[in-house]
Amino acid sequence: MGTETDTEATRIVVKLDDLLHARRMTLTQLAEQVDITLANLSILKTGKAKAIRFSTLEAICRELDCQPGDLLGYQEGGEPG
Amino acid sequence: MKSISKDPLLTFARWGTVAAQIFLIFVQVVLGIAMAATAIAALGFVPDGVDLEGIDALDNGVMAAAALAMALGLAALGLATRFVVRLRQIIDTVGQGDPFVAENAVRLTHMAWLTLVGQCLMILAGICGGWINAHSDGDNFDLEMGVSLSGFLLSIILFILARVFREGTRMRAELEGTV
Repeated sequence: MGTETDTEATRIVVKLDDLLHARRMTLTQLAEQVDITLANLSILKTGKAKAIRFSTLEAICRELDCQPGDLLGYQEGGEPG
Repeated sequence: MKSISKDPLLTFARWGTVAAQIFLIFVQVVLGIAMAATAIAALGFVPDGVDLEGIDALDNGVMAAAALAMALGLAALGLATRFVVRLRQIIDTVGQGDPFVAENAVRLTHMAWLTLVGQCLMILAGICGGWINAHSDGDNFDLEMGVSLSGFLLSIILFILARVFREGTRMRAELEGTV
């Protein structure tokens, strides 16, 4: 299961860890391929990001050959917090 | 990151605030001595044989009003000193490359209030000056303290700038969480 990111009233789940595991790729390798710092990708992976740029989303989807929906999920009825 | 020592404008502004602070403290000391002397003279404690040229023709009421005006001026100078210190703290944060912090919004709000209160003190001092001029022949005492619209304008600008910094800090905090 991915990492949950709390927003104001919803719960967004970041499934980057699952995608990386499925593709046998490390976060460092992805960081090099998408030209985003390891620190920023780590923030995204651990669910600490408050927002994600389209350019970041596009780069990750391109490199992992996935759709934005594969990376992000919405957990209904979750308790933010 | 911009170092304050490598930016001529910041260096000049910083030393300018240091010089202004020293000057303001010096003026406060001088005005404080003058105020004390005037207050003592107003209370009638003038030693025999002391020649008080200039103010010896004034009555005690006028001298008391003059001492009050000086006290108000002294308080305004104290506020101006605090203003300069806060300005230097803001300049330092610019030099450290991190000016959009909540502390600067608070400092700007303080500076706005200091300006506003300072202007009010100057109005009171101006009223004292007007009263003195009305009750003396005008030759022995010359007190010029006026109401400055630019001071009130500065206060409004500082209040607005404080809002800008508060909003800027909030926006930066949002950006920090963006990947």
